Amino acid sequence: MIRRSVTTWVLAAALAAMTLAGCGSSNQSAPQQDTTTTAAASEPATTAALETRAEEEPSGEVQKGGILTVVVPSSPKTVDPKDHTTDYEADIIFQVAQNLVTYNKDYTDIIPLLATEWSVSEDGKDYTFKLRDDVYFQPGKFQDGRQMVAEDVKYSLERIYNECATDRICREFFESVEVVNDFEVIIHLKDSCGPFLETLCDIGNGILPKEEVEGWGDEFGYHLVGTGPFMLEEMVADEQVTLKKNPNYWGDEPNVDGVVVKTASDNSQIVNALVSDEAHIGMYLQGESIQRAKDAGLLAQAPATSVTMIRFNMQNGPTADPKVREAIIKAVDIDGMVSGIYQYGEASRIYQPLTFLSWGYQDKYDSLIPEYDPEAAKALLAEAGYPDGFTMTMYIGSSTNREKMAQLFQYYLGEVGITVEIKSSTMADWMSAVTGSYKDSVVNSYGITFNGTIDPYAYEEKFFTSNNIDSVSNAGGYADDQVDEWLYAAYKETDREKRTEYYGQVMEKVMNDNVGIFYACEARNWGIAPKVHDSVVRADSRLLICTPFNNIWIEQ
Amino acid sequence: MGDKKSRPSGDALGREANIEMLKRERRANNAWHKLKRNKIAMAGLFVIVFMVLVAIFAPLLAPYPPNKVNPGQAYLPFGSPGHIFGTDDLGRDLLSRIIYGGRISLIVAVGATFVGATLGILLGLTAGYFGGWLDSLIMRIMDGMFSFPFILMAMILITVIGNGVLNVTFAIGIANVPSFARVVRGQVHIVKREEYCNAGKVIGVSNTRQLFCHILPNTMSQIIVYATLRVADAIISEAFLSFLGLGIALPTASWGSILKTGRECLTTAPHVATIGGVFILVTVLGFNLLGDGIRDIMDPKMKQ
Repeated sequence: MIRRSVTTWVLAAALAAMTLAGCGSSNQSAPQQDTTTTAAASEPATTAALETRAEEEPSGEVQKGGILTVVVPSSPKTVDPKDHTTDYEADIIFQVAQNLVTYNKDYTDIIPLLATEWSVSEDGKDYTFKLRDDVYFQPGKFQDGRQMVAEDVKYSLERIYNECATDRICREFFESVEVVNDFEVIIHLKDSCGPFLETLCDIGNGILPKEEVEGWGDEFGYHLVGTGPFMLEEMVADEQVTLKKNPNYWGDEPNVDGVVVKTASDNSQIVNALVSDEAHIGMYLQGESIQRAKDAGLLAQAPATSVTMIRFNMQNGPTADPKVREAIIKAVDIDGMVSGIYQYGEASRIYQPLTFLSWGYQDKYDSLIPEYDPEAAKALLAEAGYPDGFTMTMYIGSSTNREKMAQLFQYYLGEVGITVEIKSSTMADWMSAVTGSYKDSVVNSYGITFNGTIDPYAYEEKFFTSNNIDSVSNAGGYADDQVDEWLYAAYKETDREKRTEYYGQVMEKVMNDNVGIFYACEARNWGIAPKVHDSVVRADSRLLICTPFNNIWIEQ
Repeated sequence: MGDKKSRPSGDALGREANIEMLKRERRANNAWHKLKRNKIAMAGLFVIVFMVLVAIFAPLLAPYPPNKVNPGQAYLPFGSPGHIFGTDDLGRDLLSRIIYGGRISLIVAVGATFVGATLGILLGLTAGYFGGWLDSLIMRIMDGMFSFPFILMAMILITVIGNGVLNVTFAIGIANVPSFARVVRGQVHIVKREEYCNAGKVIGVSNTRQLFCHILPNTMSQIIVYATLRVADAIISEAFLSFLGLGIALPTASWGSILKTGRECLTTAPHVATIGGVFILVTVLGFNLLGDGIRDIMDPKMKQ
């Protein structure tokens, strides 16, 4: 041992000598950060640890004017509510088009937007919305800013029902929209549907003028027109999107004259832009940029409505055995794993396949997750017939956080004799490998982050219903008749308490079935310049500039 | 008789002196002795030998297993107790990863150069020696491969065959083939016009014997110089592919993958990228210096 240690030091000294002065700088700067990162790594991230930007006290009254510059990591491709797929696109649509209802500031409840009020029939099949009578569309090529009426609601919702590739309107239950008069509509459902109202908050259900949609045809995705506080002025692919203030906006006049959304694929460029005063808001920060934004006093975080997890193949391979799944969970120090992946405090530890921001979250189920105990894991493996372990695969889409997770997972499982082969690929390849992978034992486990809302439906229904085993959200192939029954009952139920009860039953069952490791809720991480006031970072990470509850202004 | 032995004649003295002079001249012209006189090339050789020894004895030298994670000790700085090169994002010992990473980087670089050289030599010899339509066919294919930038070619191959040590070696090797083929073909064109080759043809030496016993040995010096330089390029290619996440599979350490890890923390823990980068730099420099040195001693115009 002593000889080896001496050899090591001699070798290291020689290698260090060869590294010349290049390492000198690292030697000086690293220790400063080390305290932070090590400390962050030694304890699991919690919601409380998330950074809330201390907004500078404004020097005076609200100031109007200025162009708000926002930087995002990827360019929007189309802003047609029907075709959009990414958050970057939804952020633009949200400024231009508006829904009947929307979420409140805290993302806990639904508030009116283009509707003034609504009521639900006793059988839960009919939703009656009364509309605002002071809403006008932004002027466009095919209409000159006419009033929004009930026909537009009917046209827009039925368009999403008929033409949208993604189900954004509870398609299974949606029937039709009836126009009562110019300012009242009734949405008829085939049966009562618990998550329907939340579904209407999806930006895909924004109300659009038929003339513009049909006039532009396929090009509507670059010429969006709606009722929102900002009008789409120009959209240059991979460069920037320019929005200008809507002079006929029905709500409070936006404080800023316009918005420019720029693209910078490198996170450090986003922080550089904020620090050098070239941008006001930098969205979707990751990794080291979070630390840099934090050091510069620009970081604003919010826990996200998302679940990051490892799922097991439930039907084939070694993980089809419940004892093996329990052993795997017991073998992983999940707290250690979370702190190892998220070294800048950019996530919170979770225990269940449900965001803790959901109204259906019940912390009594947290304790159902098997505790970290490698010895017990080994014993379980021996009981399951794998005393010498086995080899399994872990499929991940190539990203820093996912790669870290896979390597830590591999390490912990290696300690109990399970060899994990990491298969890292592009998201598209990952998606094609994982979808339907329950059918054989090629994919034994996979890592995924799933974004939802505050309705448990957005998680439990997607993850565990047997209807979904051929989609990526339940690619592990979890199928249980009882769970299907509870999920269907919860879907049809409109009473929140009853729905919570159903979802609780599902939660208890799937936790006991050890279907996966649900380990993190990745936070929304933004950098916001000090002179930006009245900004809100919400759990869904929507860019909120001029809403019923905030109106950003820039101190000149 | 005894007198003859103890008192050599003037002719004998002259012969011995001549032999001694010839020996000295041969020694002076000996490649190794020439190389030894080139201090810069020797420095390059020292670096290579050092890296190769470190790679060979990695299990004895590395203080920790290269993949042993310790999330609680992530990003320890250079010079930390127990981790003199510090640790990376997962708390793995950087010295151990550099040592094992050198193994992978060198294996891939040498292996890829070997693959590229072997195939390139065969194609270059065939094209250069036989000429005609065969030459045109082979070289047009090589030109086609040349039209892809080297690294793009390697990336395409990796995308098709997947990552991993063998696949990366193969991909970089294949991407190396056209350049070797072109160099060898050029040399063959010169060598095959030499008198001894013509003489061989006249006495009916078979094509195979002509190619492998007469032409190939006389192009070897150029090939060795070129191969030395290509090894350096292959190290960078492996690093580049690993940096893009297309190279060696996780969590195997290679200098490129260390560099990739370091990119994620350039401002908060710059030592990770610095250490990975410096080792790539020094080793590539070593191969380049040695290659330049060999070229100098092989080049008759450089004789002093």
